[in-house]
Amino acid sequence: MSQKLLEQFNCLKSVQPDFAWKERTRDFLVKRVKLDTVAHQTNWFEIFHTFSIVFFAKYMPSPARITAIIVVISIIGGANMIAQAEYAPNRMFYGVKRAYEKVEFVFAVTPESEAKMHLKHANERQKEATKIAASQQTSQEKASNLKTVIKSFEQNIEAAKSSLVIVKEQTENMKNSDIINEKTLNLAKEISENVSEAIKNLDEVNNITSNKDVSKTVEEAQSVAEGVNTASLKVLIEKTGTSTDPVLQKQLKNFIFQKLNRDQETINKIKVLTEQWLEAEDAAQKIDQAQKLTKEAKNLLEENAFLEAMQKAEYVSDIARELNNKINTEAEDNKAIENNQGNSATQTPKVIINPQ
Amino acid sequence: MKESLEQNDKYLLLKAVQGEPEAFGVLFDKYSGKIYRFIYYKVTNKDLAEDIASQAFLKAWEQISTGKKVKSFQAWLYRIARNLVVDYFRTREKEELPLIYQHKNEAESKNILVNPDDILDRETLENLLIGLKSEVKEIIALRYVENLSIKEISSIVDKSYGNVRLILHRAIKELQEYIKK
Repeated sequence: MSQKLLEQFNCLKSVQPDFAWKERTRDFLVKRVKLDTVAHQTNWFEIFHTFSIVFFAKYMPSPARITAIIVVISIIGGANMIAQAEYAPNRMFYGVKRAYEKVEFVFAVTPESEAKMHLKHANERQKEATKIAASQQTSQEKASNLKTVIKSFEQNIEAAKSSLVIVKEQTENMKNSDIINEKTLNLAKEISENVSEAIKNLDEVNNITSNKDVSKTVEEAQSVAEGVNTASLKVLIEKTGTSTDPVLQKQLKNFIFQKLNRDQETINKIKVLTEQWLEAEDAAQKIDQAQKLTKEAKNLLEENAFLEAMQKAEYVSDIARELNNKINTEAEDNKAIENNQGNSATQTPKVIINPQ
Repeated sequence: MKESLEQNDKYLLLKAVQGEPEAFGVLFDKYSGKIYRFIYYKVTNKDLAEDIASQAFLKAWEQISTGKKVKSFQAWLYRIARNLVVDYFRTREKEELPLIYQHKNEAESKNILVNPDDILDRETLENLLIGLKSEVKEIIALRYVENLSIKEISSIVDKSYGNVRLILHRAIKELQEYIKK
């Protein structure tokens, strides 16, 4: 019904500005362009650029373009076999690999298949990140390549989450709700599994690399991934509902346990650093609170109270994020002070923490 | 269909920069309606929409003439228009400017109920569109009024492809409120 309504909006295309305004503004702009370009001298690059646009527009008729595209796709398909081995954005066949991934999307016609495609590509990006981190490239090259693939990972994982939300909402009011809920459930499980694995692997990347910018990019990506994981766990909790299926309950318990364990690791790392950087008492109180909440969450999981456990897990993540931000801010402030004082002897400890 | 040179934005921009002002005039003819509509559905005032649209084209030319390279002129122009609208609302709030422009009443839009099987008149459709949340309204306008693809929309509104799809999907839900049961 709403779709019918949406299609009617097309008639609003007939809404136009005043003819007098159009004429007046056009005149003004044309005069302005004339004034600004009166002294312009066309250079050889502009001539070449114009020529190439004209050439492709005039001498590449549509059927030939279609043929060219088919030929290109065939070459990409063949070249893709070689390209699969590429992992760094600055290498020759990497562009072919990414082009092929775009072609794969043409065949993902439902939000569910799109989500799976995004997950597949996100997995590929994090594998590439691990290979790049371990490679012998120069540190500048490595940093640039890592940032590219990790940003891409982040986009894929966000897109997978959006597709999950669409699948969930689309299926909410449909008939055959048991079968459809199963679909949403399986997708949410797949997302949680993949994302948890990805966060762990990105930790490895962070441990290998020593570049601060890359660490920041990795942390941001892990933060986004954890957000997607949380969204997917909430869908799982909602769809699991009052199910007594022990396998499902165990899977859900494991996912939430993994999240709690990651948060616990983060809090432990923060605990060591807060002794050096922050108002110790304030930080210690928050850390105690986080540790208490973690314990409560784990107890709730034992009783299969998933929703309440997840709520507590989210509070723990919030605390970890807050403390991590304070630590990073203090580290940056201290570095700025040291730079001003010209004291290059003091080293700023690297903050490698993922606020889950 | 093969795009003629007159419709090729890169060619027109290049020609304009090289001293053929009429080329920019052609670009204005091509996009003035779209940009005007885009702004109009945000500010709901004709005169204001025309003002901001003029500023958008002028700003675009000023940047092009100083050497700015753009991949997609359409998306970039929409982004300029969008930012100008944001600046307008920000200035209006900050300086408590008198409402010299009369804006359509968004609250009135909330009371509409329609039958989607009927062919609705322009005014009803406009009121429906204006009644939607700002983020949804802009994306609906770009998708269903201007027929842009989701990829094009995502580059204009600076949101991911997935996010735009989600908003469109939610728009369908929001429109249910306006449908007669």
